[in-house]
Amino acid sequence: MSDSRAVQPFSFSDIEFADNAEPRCACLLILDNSGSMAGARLEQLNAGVRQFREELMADPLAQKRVEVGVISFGPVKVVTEFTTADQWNPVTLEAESDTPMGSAIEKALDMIERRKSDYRKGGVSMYRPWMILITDGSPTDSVHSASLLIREGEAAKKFAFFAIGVDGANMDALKNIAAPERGPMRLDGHKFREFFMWLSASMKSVSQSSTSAATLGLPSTTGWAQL
Amino acid sequence: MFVSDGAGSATHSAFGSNIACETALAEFSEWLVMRNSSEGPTAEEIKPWLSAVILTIKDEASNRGLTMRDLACTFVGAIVTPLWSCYLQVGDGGIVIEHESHFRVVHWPDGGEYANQTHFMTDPNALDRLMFKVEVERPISIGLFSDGVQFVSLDYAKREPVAGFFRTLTKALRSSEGDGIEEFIERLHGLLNSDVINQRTDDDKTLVLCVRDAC
Repeated sequence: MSDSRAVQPFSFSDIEFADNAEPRCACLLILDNSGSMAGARLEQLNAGVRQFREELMADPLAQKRVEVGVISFGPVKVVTEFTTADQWNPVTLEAESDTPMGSAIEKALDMIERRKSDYRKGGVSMYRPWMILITDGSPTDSVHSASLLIREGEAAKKFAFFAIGVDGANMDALKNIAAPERGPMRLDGHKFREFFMWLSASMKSVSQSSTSAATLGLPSTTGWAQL
Repeated sequence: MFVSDGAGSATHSAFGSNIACETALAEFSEWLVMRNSSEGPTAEEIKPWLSAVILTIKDEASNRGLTMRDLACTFVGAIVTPLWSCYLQVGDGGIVIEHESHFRVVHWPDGGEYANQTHFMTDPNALDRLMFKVEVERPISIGLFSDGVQFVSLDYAKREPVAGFFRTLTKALRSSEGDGIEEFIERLHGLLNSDVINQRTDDDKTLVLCVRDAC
């Protein structure tokens, strides 16, 4: 489209802007698919995870900024490497073996550190990553190391770690792993859908926050947490 | 020239940022009068200016029954003389200077690890995070800006300014000498408020631009 007028002296028509990557928020799900999760528990968990993806897809900013990774245990498997919702096809988990919670958490910590390193190398801004552990049991391996790393990491604000106990989960074990100021929570029945709605709302909140925003307020957990 | 960006989460940060700029200006002016200004200041010489900024903010907070955090602000400053230029910064935002058609960011913004945080003048040990440089070359143009402009004008992967951003604006500023300056300011205001920028950032946007004739 040609313009026959002379270009204004202070025309900004040839201005360029940076094409910086969207800031990323890593969200790592560490999901118990041990034998005891078989049946309704795992069905509801799988359904909740799929819903989580749909909710992220429904929000244009969260879709671009939230990166989801999935680890299942036991055995410990990286089911999904970090990916944005549009590239993520949630894998349906089947009930498998035991509950090596310690190893699963250590694997998760490693994944988070590597992702942060990727962001730094690529000049990609990031939000503090979240780790979500969901279990119905007791650890079948040592969690001593995992516990130290979680508490140290939380104190240094390297990530935010949430532990969710389902049905007969060993809440004392989870209390020993989680940071004191972010104690484990018990899922009310099988309200996985409600939990993942809370998680997607929280992720939307984080991924929209900027330095000019007021203190980050997360949605209430009353929809899914047992008091 | 000084730019100070009040923290959005701090209730009275506008006071903090105002004090930061005025105090720094007063301190520097006094230094200039008292010292031989053929050489730029050292880091040790400017630290008292910044301590004065911090103390003044502390007093203001105290008078209002507030904490330092309530007046949190970043700080970016540049002083350009014929013989030397000095560039100082605590937190994010930035300074881009031009020499012989090449644009360079003086200090990479120190925004902290996460996208929704930064370092402030009001933090404990803020002066440990001071970035400071004195150069003898005088730039032919200089831009100071807050973090809202940083995301659209700096290439984060390459850690460089986007030349096409600064070149367009400095060229336009040069052509607007005299009567044109009002219209330039209006146009710049319009640009910073435009969709094309607001789609990329929702932070406050402050930009100070200065050009001189190249010798």
